[in-house]
Amino acid sequence: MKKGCFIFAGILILLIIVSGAWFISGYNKVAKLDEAVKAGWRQVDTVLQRRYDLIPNLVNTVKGYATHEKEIFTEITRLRSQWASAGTGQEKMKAAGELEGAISRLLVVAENYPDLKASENFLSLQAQLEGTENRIAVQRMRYNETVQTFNTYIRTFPGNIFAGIRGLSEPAPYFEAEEKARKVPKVEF
Amino acid sequence: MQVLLGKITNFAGRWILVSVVLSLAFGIVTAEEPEYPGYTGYVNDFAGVIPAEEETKMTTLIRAVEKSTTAEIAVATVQTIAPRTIDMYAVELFEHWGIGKKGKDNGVLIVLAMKEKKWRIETGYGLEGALPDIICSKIGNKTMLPYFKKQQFGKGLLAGTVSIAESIGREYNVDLEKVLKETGYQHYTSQGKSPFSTIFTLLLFILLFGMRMGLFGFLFLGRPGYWSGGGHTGTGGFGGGFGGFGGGLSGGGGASGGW
Repeated sequence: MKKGCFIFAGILILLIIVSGAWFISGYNKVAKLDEAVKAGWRQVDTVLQRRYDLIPNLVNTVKGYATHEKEIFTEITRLRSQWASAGTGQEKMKAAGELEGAISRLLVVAENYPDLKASENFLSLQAQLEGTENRIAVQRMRYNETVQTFNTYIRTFPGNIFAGIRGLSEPAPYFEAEEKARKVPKVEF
Repeated sequence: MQVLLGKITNFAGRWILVSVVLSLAFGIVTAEEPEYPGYTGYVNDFAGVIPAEEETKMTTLIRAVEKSTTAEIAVATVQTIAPRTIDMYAVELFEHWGIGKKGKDNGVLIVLAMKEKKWRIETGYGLEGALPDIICSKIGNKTMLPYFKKQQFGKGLLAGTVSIAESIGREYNVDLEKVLKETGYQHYTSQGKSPFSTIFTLLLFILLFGMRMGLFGFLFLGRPGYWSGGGHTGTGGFGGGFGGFGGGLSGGGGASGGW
């Protein structure tokens, strides 16, 4: 009987250690995944900022040639400040999507002005914009991957338990691409 | 006591059973097929469009660049990138291979898609300064494109690799002239000349060097493709050079186009 008790105690201690380790790793995993989502968003934010910084120069360059297209300039300026004042991530995503659409409309407008299209300044801006859009697409993709991992974990067992304990049960928002806005004209040199 | 013991061991038994089942289930879920080919060296001619001569020259040059700057240049040709775009293909292949050193992200990838007739130069985060998008666009459209249009993919890629190596050399303040001399490029000049004349001179001497290489080319154990069967475990059999890429990452920098 005594021997049995020792074996039982041993098993019990082992179980406590194993389940303890399991608990800690799950507990930490939620935090790690949450941090990955946040880091992914910071990357997205950086490249969105890069586009934001290009806009004034782009608008001014196009303005110089296309004087009659007031509407689109006003809209872009409005959306740009809307992006800047957006508080939450979701607001920023929405504003960024609309801004993307407006910029591609501006580039379509630019197509009608051959002098503008041929100007060195515009070509350089367009190339920069194209590079920026591609970077946004990449960071958006990576961000969405972190969101998927996080959301799957917190909605399935046993991640949902740890997420509940840590208060991280809220799924992270995906950053959806606006398909129509994805088309930025290519530049040839 | 006996009853309690029985209850608890029963409980423990169930737990073990549950965890075994769970870990089995997870193990199955995480098994996934690799979508991108593994690399075989610096130059990965999956589409079979680069003549052996140019491949050797590129490999020699890229190895010299890595030795002196730690920056890694990768070249890949594939038959098709469908269903992806060239931009997405390049960024994912870049990540899959991990071109450039980890933390420095100083890699650059040139990829050609034969069926789609597309090229892309993808720069790692750490080389976005040395190779801004506009420079990549010029290397693509002015240096490589004329060759691609004539179906001379090996020559085009070599010219592109030389231009990229030059830019990297300038960024790292490395006297590539000395490095290239050691590897056989004897009259490398880059200062105060237009990129065209520089590339022309370089190509000329690469050509001369190539002829010399022909004499002792048998010393190298065939093409790098043969030397390393696939992937990350390569251990510098090819002149002590290629030991796998370093784990770098890119974020969509560079330029792309078609021919």
